[in-house]
Amino acid sequence: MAIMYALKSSDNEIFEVEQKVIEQSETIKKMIEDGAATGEIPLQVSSKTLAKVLEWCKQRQHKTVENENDDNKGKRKKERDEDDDIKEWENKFSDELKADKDVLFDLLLASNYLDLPALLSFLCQLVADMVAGKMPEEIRRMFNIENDFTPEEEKAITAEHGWAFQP
Amino acid sequence: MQNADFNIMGDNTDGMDRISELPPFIIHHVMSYLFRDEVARTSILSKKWNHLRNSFPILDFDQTDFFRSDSEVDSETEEEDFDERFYERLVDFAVYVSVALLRFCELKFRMQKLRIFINLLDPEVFSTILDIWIGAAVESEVKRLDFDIQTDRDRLYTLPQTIFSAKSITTLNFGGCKLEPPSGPVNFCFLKRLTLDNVYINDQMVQNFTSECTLLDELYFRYCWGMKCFCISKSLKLKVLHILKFNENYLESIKIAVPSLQQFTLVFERQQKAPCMIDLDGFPHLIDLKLVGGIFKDQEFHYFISKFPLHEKLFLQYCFLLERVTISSNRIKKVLIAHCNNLKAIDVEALNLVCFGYLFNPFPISSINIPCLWKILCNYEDADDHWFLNIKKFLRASRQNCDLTIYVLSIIICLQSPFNLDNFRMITPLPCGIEHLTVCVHKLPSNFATLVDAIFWICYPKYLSIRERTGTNSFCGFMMNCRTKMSAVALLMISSVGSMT
Repeated sequence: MAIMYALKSSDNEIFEVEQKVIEQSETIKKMIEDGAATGEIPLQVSSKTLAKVLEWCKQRQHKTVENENDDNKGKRKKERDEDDDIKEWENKFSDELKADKDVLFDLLLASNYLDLPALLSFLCQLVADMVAGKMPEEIRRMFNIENDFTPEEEKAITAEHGWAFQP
Repeated sequence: MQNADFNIMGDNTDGMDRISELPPFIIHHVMSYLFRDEVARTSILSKKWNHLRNSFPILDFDQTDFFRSDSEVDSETEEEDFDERFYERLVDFAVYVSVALLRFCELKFRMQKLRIFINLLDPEVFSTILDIWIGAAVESEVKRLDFDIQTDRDRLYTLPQTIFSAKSITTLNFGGCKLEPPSGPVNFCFLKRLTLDNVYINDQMVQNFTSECTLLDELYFRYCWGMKCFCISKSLKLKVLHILKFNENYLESIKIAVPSLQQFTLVFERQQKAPCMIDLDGFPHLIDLKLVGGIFKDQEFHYFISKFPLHEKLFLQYCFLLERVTISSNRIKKVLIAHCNNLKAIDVEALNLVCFGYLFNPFPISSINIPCLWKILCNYEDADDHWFLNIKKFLRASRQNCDLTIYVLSIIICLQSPFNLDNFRMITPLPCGIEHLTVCVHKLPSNFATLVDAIFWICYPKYLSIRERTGTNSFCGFMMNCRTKMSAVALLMISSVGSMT
């Protein structure tokens, strides 16, 4: 019987989760080890974000358990199929986040707060993919970044990094 | 069009700039996945981003970035102009690097990585500025330093003494410079990985590195020179040692005794003989061994491998001094033997082998007892009857199945003409079954039928693939046509063909 823990989001919603799933978070793991987590574990994360975090953790947990159960026979084919499944899941997960950037940024902050390095790296890569190959004006528009340079300042910086602005 | 983009990207309608509010280290993490030019362009987004980019602890400068734009014009302009412009760009680059480094140092942050790639016509003019760059990195407690200087071999840049006080460094890559022994101790107490590429280094300096960097894990020498006696014996934790082609002829001896070593690669030029004194000893934990070039004779080789029973991978290439090779181990998993042109006999007894490759060697007398499918690649080049007889004998030496790939490189068929199957049948047993035969036709032979007869006389493949590089598909066409006309042996074969490409 798996040990279950109750996580409480900042808006007071309760999530029942298996220990193995949430122990990926170093922050929660420490709370459990310190004995601070009897009953509900209160977290500074909204229910919407926490649901997403747990979606990620469950997928990761699933992956590691399956790998442990594999014996060597036919492993390669199975691995390839699994890799495809994971890729597909990750693509769907990424697409949702790209479509709702508020969730993306909440998730980034939550992955940092909960100390989930794999999720943090995944999200950073995702943001990098969104930025890659785009010109500054497109990036500003995508993330609502306000250009607070005077035209002269902007010109000076463009000149300094001239090599990076050549086609 | 712009509006459409807007919606697809799901831009926030409330217009909040949330990305700029992220903690700087997260934004730096994002930047670490971007190319150099993409990182540089973020400085223009806003004042905040300009600061974020200036404090980005991964500093990567590549001189080629400054030469990209006018490559087309180059060919038409005078050489003198080119030199002048090259120098101008070089100065631009040097100023750019200096400004960025200075700015970063003023922030008093720790530097994660500094990479510099520079092509210098005259290192002397630039040596002061290079010293300053290294000094700045050391001052910022750089963890990873990657310094690649392309220059003439006789005008090498000598690394400054300040480098030896870089206590925080974990990874160090030097290319094309000179390492002079330090006046004091080497202070790389956290150095784990050292790569020297085309570096002038003497015996003493090798000693210093290996005995004073106690955490050193991986050591790579590529085309290094300046040594007489290459000796590593005091390194306690070294796991990986790669020595790729000493770039000189003065080397007198090699002595390596590192008990912790797990992976060892020693590569000499294809036809270059190794120095007469090679003393490799005491690798009880070695699992991965790669030897390229004329390093060992039979006896030395067998004595050497008899001393470490744990090896898992063995790779031998261009070992032209080897004639008789015996590999007997229940631990070994992977064996690759390639281009060992003087092999006369080979015995392999390895019950746990999962991969055996026999690539472009002659076909010697053999006994091979392995449980896995093995892979043979060979060139068919002016081969005569003996070649076909030998390859057949070789295939029959193992009851195991194999993948055989034959590259047809010759237009001459040196078989008795016409090829007499009956004669051959009388002197040797039936062809053996193999898993997959691939015939790669690079040059169309003068006589297709003889070639096909000879190949099928060697083996029955379950699958046959034909690859033709001549672009006319004539051999493939011939094979398709002769499905009905072929001799008994060949016909049997074609009916079992699984894939024909």
